[in-house]
Amino acid sequence: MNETDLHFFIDSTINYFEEITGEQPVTGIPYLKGKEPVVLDYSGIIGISGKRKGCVYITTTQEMLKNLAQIILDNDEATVETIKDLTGEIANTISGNVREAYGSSFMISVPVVVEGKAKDIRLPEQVQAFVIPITWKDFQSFLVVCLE
Amino acid sequence: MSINDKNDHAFSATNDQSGNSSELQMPLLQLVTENILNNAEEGIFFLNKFLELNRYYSKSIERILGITDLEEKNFIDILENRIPSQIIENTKEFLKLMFQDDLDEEVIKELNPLIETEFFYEDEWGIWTTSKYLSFNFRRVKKSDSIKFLLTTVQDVSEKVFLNQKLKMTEDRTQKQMEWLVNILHVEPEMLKEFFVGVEHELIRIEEVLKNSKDSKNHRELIEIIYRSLFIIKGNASLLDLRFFTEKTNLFIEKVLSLKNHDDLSGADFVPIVVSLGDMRDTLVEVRTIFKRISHFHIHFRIKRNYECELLVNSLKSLIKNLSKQLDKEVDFDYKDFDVLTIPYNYRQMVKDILFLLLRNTILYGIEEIALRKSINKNPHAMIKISSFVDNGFLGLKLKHDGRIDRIERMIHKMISKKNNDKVLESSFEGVQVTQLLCTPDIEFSKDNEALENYSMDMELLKRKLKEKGGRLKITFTSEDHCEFTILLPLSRMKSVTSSNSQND
Amino acid sequence: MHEKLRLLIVDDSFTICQAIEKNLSDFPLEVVGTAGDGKSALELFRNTNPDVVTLDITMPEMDGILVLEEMMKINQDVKIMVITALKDKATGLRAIQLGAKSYMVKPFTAEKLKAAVARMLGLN
Repeated sequence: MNETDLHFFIDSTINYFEEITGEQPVTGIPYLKGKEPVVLDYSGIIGISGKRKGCVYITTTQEMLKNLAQIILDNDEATVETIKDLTGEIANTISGNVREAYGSSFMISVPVVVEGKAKDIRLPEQVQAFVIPITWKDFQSFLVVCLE
Repeated sequence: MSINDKNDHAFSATNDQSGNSSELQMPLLQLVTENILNNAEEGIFFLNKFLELNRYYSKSIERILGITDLEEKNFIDILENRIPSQIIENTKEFLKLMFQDDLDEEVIKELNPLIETEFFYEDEWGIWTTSKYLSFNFRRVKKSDSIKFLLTTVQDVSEKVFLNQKLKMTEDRTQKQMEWLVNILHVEPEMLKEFFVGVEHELIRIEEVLKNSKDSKNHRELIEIIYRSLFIIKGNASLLDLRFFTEKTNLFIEKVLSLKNHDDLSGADFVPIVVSLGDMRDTLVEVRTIFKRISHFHIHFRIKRNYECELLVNSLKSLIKNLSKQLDKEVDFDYKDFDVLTIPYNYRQMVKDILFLLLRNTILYGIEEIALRKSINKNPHAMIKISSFVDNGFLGLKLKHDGRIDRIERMIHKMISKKNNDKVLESSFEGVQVTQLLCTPDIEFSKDNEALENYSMDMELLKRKLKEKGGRLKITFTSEDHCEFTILLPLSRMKSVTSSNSQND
Repeated sequence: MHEKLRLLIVDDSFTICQAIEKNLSDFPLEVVGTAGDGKSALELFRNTNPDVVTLDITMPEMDGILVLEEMMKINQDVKIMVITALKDKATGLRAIQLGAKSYMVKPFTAEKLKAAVARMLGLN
């Protein structure tokens, strides 16, 4: 992974929140993921294949998702199922938008949603993972990108 | 039987002496041709002067090119949008030459642009996402000395190309590793191990500050911490003459310094930093792997104690001689009170590190040039003396020199004025404070004086080394032109450290 | 003759399905079904004969491009709007080549969705 790759994902994430909510998130200083888990309440995972291989996931809090769901669904109360679904949708959209830069040989899987902080997300071994902290309306999330 | 087709003149029946037998042979010939074309693995077709394919082509060409019904299709149209346009232009020119009777075929063949060319294919969505490498070969087919067709064969050479690419990658990687290997072979294994530990330590420090940064106001401090860690790595690498590591660190430092001048930094601005960090981590892992592979050689060929001691003194003398010569300085090196044999074996690397650092620092920033020394009525030959002693459970090392002290005094003055500490007078500075000041590098120095910055960075490095081993440093000015560094290393603590080190060997 | 056009919403995210339904509630559209995968989308398409479809691409069972092809074979007059996270031009071009009347990239705002649907239905 190089700087351009990381920038694509950062830009895609900023665009997602800005487009949906009208409010730009703040991306924190990225860092290398170590052995410690980077997992919050809900995580949406996308597998990448084709010319680039790896995995991307977004992990965030229930509160953030509830807030976001309320904006998307125009103040309707978000159920647990909605929140889980939205996690996958965020991951899918951020990854799918990056395809504008990489072309159609950048293939994304259907999202997998993981609930709970119990376990770390298993990432491809021998490939470095970068963690990008995202703060939107004081809610903390992390985008983790692990690409060859 | 002749085949009536404007393109097929070459295939009309020849008149042989028994006209009847040629008529009988034709169907047989046709059958043979069809068999060949239906079963050949290679793509085979004929091109006329208009660059059109005639109806005789092998079945496999449809598979190779991914196109059916090739009869009378223009070859250039087939290539259009599948290979780069420049190659298509070259192909047109080349084929024109191939049809010129007066040109030697063997010469022109060398100009064939369609060798190992990447050819793109549509997927089921009509999007060009896959490719293969194809090689086209052209041969003239003549009749009565006139070129009628070009017999063209096509092969899928993708496997060969990918293998070559893989080989090249492996070769490049091997060469890089060889360079690294040559670079690390001259370094004592213990020193290398310590270097790796040091680098790891600094990389973890950088990772931690990145991970724990939350407040954007702290970006300056963050940059300073990263810069300091990198400078330490660079210093360590230079000390061991690990050029590849020094270069890599330099590139990293440049990226950090480029952020220094920005007022308004965002998280995204740190992307080059974190990517460089990842790259440095990868390098460390690779170098460590190489080191592990060669470390048993080192153990096997470890030399005797006496010789090692001689080596230490000789390497110090060599350093002094080379550095002085470079800087137009003359140094008399006095080591008669330095008893190498009293230094325990497992202290040797540490002692060598310390002395190298101090000597280098002294010659670079302490000792004056010959001309300057003469002008201030000093002996043009500077004096550096090293000595060792054991006292009260400590191994002591002293380095004394008669170089200028004013530089150190200027540094102290600068630091005081920078810290706006009017209440503190220079003369009231005690040895500990002086040492602390000198050993705390400040990134701001790089703006004013690179030498001062380097000096303090080196001292910081020394301080860290000592801290890890529980050692102490004292700097004293015993006269106007006399400076002495005293290092104390605790013997008992080093014993427990070294015994655990030897267990890890 | 129906007063409202029949709308089929196809997306594997039911949040998106809900959002589309909610945002188009002012339009003369009646939601006849929502589907979360390609196979059920085609089944619903055959059973409900919608006039308008919003169609995602990245879905389980059968992706949206194949679904689009099949839908166009069944009813060439259906107005299909592809709504997808895949932002590359090739995917968009392919969708239009196969017969989609409109193409929109996620994330979308309510305003953008309404404007695009209005344009597709000739309501602006």
